[in-house]
Amino acid sequence: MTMFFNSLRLALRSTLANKMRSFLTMLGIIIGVMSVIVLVSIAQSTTSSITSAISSMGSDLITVTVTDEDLSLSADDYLALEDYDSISGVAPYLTVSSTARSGSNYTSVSALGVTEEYMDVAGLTLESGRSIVLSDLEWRTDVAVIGTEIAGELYESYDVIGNTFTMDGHTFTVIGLLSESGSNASGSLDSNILIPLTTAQRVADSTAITTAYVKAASTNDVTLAQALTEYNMLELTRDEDSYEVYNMTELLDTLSDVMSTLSLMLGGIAAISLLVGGIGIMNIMLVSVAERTREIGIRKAIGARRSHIMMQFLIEACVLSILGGLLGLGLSALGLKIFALAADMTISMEWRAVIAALVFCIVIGVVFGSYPAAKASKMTPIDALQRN
Amino acid sequence: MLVLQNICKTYFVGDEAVHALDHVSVHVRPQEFVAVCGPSGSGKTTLMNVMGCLDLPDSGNYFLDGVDIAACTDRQLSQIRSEKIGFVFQQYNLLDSMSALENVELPLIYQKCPQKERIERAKAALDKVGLYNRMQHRPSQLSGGQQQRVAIARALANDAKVILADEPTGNLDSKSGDEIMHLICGLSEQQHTIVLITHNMEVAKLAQRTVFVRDGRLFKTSEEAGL
Repeated sequence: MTMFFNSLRLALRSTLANKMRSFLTMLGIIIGVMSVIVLVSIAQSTTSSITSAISSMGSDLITVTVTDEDLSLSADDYLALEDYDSISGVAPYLTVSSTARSGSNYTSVSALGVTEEYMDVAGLTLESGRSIVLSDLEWRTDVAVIGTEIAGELYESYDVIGNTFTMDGHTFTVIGLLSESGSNASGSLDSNILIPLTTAQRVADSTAITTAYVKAASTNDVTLAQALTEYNMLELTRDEDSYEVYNMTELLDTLSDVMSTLSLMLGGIAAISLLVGGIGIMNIMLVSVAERTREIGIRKAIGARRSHIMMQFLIEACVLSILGGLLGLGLSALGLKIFALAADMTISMEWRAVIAALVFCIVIGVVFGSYPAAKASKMTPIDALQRN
Repeated sequence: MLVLQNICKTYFVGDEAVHALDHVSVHVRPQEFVAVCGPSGSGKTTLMNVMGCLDLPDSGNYFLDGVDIAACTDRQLSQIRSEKIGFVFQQYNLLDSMSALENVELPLIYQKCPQKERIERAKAALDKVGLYNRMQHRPSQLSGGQQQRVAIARALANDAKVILADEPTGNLDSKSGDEIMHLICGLSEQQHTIVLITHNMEVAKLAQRTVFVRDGRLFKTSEEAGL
């Protein structure tokens, strides 16, 4: 043990004696560790922010999309699904892409023509005002519930109830403001405009409804609800290629599969740079052994065993790689902070990547240090002493 | 103490065989001070390397303190060097990255001597050679004579019974050389077994006994050796 600490002290000293060389040698490891930790952490944080956004939309939500443009389904076709016990709500909706204007402000929007059940099914809540009710649908009123982003763009204020805007020749009155809710896979929820479905049908000059949300009664009913939805759609269309039924959990699973493959790939690529750093260490250790041949000879002459010499050089290689790893860890913490500030994201350091990178550093130190160390230890004292 | 019987050692320089040691037999008794004298290239350094277990002979027997060196493993040879032999080289062979004290401590580290005792013994050894007040100096900050004294202290630190000195005065001016020889003679009086290798007859005269080497062969007198 004393031997170990002596070797460690010696290794630290010789690392510090050649600061520039040690730093350049460690640079490969530093960059390798940084890229592993930073890339994996960013990939993981992005994944978790996307998945939490999606799951906040409700994993009990099933989306139905009709892809065949010749099919013309009415709202009632979808609403028939509400008869099943496992389905608690159905919200068919129609998307109208247009431009909303208020005074000199205008913005391009996707207005969703919705039923009175939509907000409940999609999990949206009001910040202020009221939501779209049955009578709005019956009377085809020109009213709208808008997201905070739209409110900002059109009125530069959240005090919007009673304000008006024009869209496709209709003048809409704002009756409600949606709570801020971030974004999901289909874009920012705060840039939504909800109008009565019947009004949307008039604006779009079409009664065909291509999409609907189906809400399962509970998360346990999702599979059953999805099967029933699919069965109903097949009944209606008689062509299983003309529609798609999918669930958010399914989407989530696919997404996290893709993301974990991606982060594994990123980590793998970064690991290659660690490997290159390890070769750099081996290179410099070989130079070091050659330079210190005489020292090895002297040490052997005064009683050092092979194992002592081996240990000395092995520890030196490990000191280089571990020190490089720790520097890389510090720098990646700094890098992640800067990236988080620049990208306005919360990024947490992925501890599994940290452990993997540091373990890899030790392995690299041992693996790439052992050849030079073995070479040093195998020198006969007389050869080592006579070399100059 | 050191018993060498019919030791042969041949080097190959290119295709040419050089008989560095040609059936050399020598017996160094405990506490004896023997000088090995010979011109350069006579094989005297090879003899010291064999005696110091740095090099193994091609043939012949070598017993150090009753131990057959030929039968030793590399690890045992390291242990013998560590415990029984102290080297003093012509080029001092100190590690320049370390202070004088640390250089003297080094053999004790390999003996696994506890730190406290190690530092005490190293200081005592430096005191013996009169360098107690310079122990924190690097070798490069010391004169040649002082460096050689550090080397002697290093050889003494592990209580080696045998001191092998290869031209210890070879790189020194006569005044420093005299000081070193004085130290070595002092060690002889303190019951150390000393083998001194030199080409300088004046230096060799300080030893109790001198043997002569020429062309790898050992002679009892300088006349026999043709010197």
